Amino acid sequence: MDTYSFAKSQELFARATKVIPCGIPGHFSPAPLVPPTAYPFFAMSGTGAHFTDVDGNDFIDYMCAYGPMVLGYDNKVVHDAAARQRKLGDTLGAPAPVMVELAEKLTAMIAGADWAFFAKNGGDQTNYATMIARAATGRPLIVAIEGGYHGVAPWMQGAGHHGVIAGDVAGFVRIPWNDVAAFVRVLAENPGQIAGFIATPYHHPTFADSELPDLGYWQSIRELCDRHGVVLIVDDVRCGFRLSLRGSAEFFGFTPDLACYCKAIANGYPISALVGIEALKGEAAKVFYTGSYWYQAVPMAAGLACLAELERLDAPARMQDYGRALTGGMQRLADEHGYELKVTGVPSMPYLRLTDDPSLMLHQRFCSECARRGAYMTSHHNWFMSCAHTQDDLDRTLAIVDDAFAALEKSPEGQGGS
Amino acid sequence: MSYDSIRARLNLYAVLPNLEDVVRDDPQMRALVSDARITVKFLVAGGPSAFVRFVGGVCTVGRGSGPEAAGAPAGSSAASSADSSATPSVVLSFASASHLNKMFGGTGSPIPLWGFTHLGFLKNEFTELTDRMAYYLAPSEELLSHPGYLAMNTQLTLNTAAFAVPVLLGHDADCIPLRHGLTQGTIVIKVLPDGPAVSLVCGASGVLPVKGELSHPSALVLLRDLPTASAFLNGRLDTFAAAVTGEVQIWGRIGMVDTLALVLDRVGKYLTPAAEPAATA
Repeated sequence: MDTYSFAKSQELFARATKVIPCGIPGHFSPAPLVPPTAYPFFAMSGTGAHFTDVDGNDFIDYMCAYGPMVLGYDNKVVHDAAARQRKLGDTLGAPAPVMVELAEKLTAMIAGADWAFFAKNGGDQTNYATMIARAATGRPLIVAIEGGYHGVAPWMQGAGHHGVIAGDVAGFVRIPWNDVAAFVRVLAENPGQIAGFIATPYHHPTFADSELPDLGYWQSIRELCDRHGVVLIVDDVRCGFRLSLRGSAEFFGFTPDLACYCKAIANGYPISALVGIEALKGEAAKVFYTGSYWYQAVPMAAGLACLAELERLDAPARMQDYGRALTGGMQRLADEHGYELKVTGVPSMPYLRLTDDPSLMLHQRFCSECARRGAYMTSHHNWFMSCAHTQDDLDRTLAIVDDAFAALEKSPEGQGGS
Repeated sequence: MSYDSIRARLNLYAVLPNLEDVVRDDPQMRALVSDARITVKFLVAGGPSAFVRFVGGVCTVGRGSGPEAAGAPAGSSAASSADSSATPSVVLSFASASHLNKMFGGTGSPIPLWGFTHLGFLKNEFTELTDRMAYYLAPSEELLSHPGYLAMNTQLTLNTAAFAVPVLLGHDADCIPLRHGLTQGTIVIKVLPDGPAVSLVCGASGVLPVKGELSHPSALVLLRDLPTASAFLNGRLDTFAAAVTGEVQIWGRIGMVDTLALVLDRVGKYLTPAAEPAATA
């Protein structure tokens, strides 16, 4: 099987480093791709589950823009809805009616949601949720999970990271995932001080296996929050609508007080949403929170269309089915080649790891060999399935995986090479 | 812990161990101390202590008051290599961490407590040796253009960075919260193709720096060559860009390397010439 080269990506990256800190900052930085020279840095276009890089290489995309691509790139239904709204207006002198329609749609879809508030990024909403929890309770502390990702504001990054001071994280207590006893301890040690509990529906850190909630975990957390007057916040930014269209909390059998959504709302159009229960609507109204582009009407129209399409396609089931077929096929191929491929998380957002090498270097080589052959998958972040992945994509991916495992066997000590 | 106290620990535990390399790899310095049999002890009142021992042309640096004192702390480069033979000692006492730091900065002198019969060694050979180490650790563009100097500066700077890690994780307020990210496995930082290299053995009890390359690392940081390593270690390289272009290759448990980078970024706060105590205390 032919492998790709990335001369134009690297040339453009060299230009980028001169005028942009880090070249490509943030979660799209190639630095965590191992080795970066096996991956494309810049995309030129996208259709369906594929994107084409600046070198003309075609990829079946299993990162889906890190989540926003849920119906497929260049989706006509969503684009048409966006185009209709664009013709009417986007950022106008007042919000467009579509804002109300989208709020009505989300509150009708999501279990326990009585109101919705819109912004741009997931981190806007996780931060807003903690402010509402503090406003509602008059308490200072938020309990979060060790390794849990909620965005990039200072409190979300944690102590020791650049630009973060001790005061930024002083209002947060981190406890291990799936540890109800730790939450009980924190509540006992801080009586009347805990405003909120925030976590993702299941634990999906980078660089580590995903962990589903233990049986009864969320129900215990819910009961403790109720007993102690703590606001229960679910960060459904990454999982939202890939497990259930009624919210991932419904999938795991509980109802949060606040839930944050973003990635899968509008298939790449920039919008995020916080939904909440009626009892917190007044406090949400009191917290002043806004942004220059948070009333953009085009992403709201795109969101309405995207959500309708997700319903029409029964999207979570479709993505779960594809994910099961993909990861099952990959595990079978790994076994045939003498490797063990561990799959954690949910099938629509799997986290994969070759267990044969605890240093992960073998897994990094495997993912890079797949990328070189046209299956875009990173080694230390969960992948994303979309409704656009097809049987042809699946067949092609498994052929690539087979060839990538064969490449590992040909150079078993290839670590350090590129 | 105060800025000066942390800086004193870095001077004793991260900078001073470079004397081992200078004696081993600089023929002139090796000849200078080939006949020496002495231990120089550094004692800071109410603070850290370290020793530098010369026996048979070999220099050994470690934490504490010397190998004859049982239980040299983990992290001491002498802990695993020193034998128990006692040597004549000269003790240098410092009234405070600041006092010690001034000596390392070239603006202060210690108070010899005992071992007056060996003051000649201190004033001559030892001073020449420490001056040589300081020379290797103060690069200029012109000096770095000499391959021999480049190699030595890179090796010593790499050592300093590695041995600074446990000090900062133990005492720097910004680094203490990062301990949980360095708890399992070994990180190797190596200059290609043949070194130098350092290893950081990370465990539940802390990080143990080791000169050289240990096998079976959990994470690898490979620096393309000596000029790249020099630029990397002296803050003249865009590390994000270098990681992408392949000048710096990172393999394995990247989360550990990310955490290590956060710690290493703080070394300059204490050990660059421009470091100002008032700004960071």
